[in-house]
Amino acid sequence: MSNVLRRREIILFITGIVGGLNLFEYFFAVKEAAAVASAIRTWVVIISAFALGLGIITAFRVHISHVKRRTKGQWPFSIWLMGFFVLLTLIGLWDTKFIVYDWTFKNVYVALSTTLYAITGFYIFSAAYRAFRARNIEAAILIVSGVLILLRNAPIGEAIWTGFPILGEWVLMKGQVGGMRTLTFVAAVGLVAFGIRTLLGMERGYYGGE
Amino acid sequence: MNSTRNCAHSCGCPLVLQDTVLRLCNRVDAEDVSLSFSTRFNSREKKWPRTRSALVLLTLYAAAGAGTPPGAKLKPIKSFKLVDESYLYSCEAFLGENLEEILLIISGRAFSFVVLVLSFVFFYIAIQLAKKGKAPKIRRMIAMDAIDEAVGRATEEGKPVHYSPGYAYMSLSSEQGPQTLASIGILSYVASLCARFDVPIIYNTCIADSLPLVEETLRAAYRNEGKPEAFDVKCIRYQPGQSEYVSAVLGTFQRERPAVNMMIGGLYYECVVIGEAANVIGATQIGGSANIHQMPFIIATCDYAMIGEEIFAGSAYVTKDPLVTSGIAGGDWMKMLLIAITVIGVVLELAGVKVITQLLSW
Repeated sequence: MSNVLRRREIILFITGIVGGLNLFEYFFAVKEAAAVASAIRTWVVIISAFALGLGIITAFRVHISHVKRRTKGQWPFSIWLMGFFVLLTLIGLWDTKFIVYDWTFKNVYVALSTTLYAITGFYIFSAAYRAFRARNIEAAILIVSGVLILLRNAPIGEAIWTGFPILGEWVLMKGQVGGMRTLTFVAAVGLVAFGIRTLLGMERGYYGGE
Repeated sequence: MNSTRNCAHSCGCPLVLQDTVLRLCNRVDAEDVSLSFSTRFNSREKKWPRTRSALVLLTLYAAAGAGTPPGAKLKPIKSFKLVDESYLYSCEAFLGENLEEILLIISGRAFSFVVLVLSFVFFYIAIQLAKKGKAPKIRRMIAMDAIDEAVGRATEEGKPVHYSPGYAYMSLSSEQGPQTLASIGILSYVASLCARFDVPIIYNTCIADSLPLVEETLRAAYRNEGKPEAFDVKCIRYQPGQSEYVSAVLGTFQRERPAVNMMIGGLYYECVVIGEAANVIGATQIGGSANIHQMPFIIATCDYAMIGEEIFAGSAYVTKDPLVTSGIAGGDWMKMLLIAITVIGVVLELAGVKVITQLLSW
């Protein structure tokens, strides 16, 4: 049965029907098509919810394996992860007003996430240090533009010379806009092409096709 | 603009007016000309027509001219201007009977529809050419070609390959979904190479609904290489959030020291963190995203970068199948056409001719 469901034709058929219907609904004001497309989108939400359950199973499968094998440097964290998952699930079920759950979320999860996000600043610094090497003319232009933006944003730029913020503003609002819009434009057309290839069954990689 | 006011006639068409006013306001830029419009009450169903259908009618027929009184005789115009919303609401006019039935396409989307149809036509032509042995040539994609070299390096070092599709709003059904799908397409090729050379692959993700696809893709890659038993489903690691995912990847780098890091998909801030962490362990990096805001970080941190649309073309490119790669050429032709329209539009706009602008908002 599972082999039948995995047949390429079935996957292509479902992709074509779902994609085609949603495209039709986007362009045409037909009540019936809108209703069907809306129902399909509801299914997507339901399937995604099931996928979350699958994700939890996947995570537990990996971490139970680590604990069983006592993977060096990993298994204590696996216990910690699974323990905390079970604890929070129980709290969520028991605490119907979500007071404890919210407290835990805000004071543990959010704090940790914010900390991790803050680390990005240091990583950007080290990435910029490596990127800002004038190896060729393009890299030199990058350095000049980057320095101008830095001097625009930092108060010291204006203190050194009042022209720095103006130049930096020009780079930000004019100089780089053309390039960025080109990338956006090209990416959008590439996306459309990808969508068409998918609808026509020419994209096979995403379902394990050759 | 107060767009929530009801129609002056209390006829039950606030949505029609609200939506239309907003659309018209986006289109007009001049001043001192009033606008008059209306829609048609459906006498059969005793109600106002659906908003989308009505919009077509409303934008087709409008009366323009300073001081046009309510109830003025209507005429079709190509551009209109709006100043006084209260005046707008007090206007009254009627349309022909059959327009709504004839024009089903939603206003403002007609040009997009034409572009889509043209894309299909270009694809068809490109495929037909490929079938006749005249497949259009596509340029080399250095980052895609580097995948073989990178997996080769991992083979020599006896270290794993790490692959990650980015945050992508943690859902396939988000606007980032196509990037994740494109990424899984490239993963299929990477996994085939890993299976062929017996290199372990580690896949970290926070996109739950992509898991079945990823599992099937990896399983198929190992099966196609004749090594189904070598596939271990535990190489797929799921973390239910962006921060957890980033932490897990950093931990993976520290513990398992992959020789190659590939991050291709809807990348966000994790791109710089993962990229720099991979640099610390000396991994070869291939990155790609259509998220323009992350492009500088990908270029700064990765050895090879796929810029913008390259990730969408990647999975077709690696097949080396002329029928599939001709699809990329079809997209390129579409791009050329749109660039030509853009250039012509700029020239005409500078000359004060707004034909292209009107065409785009058709």
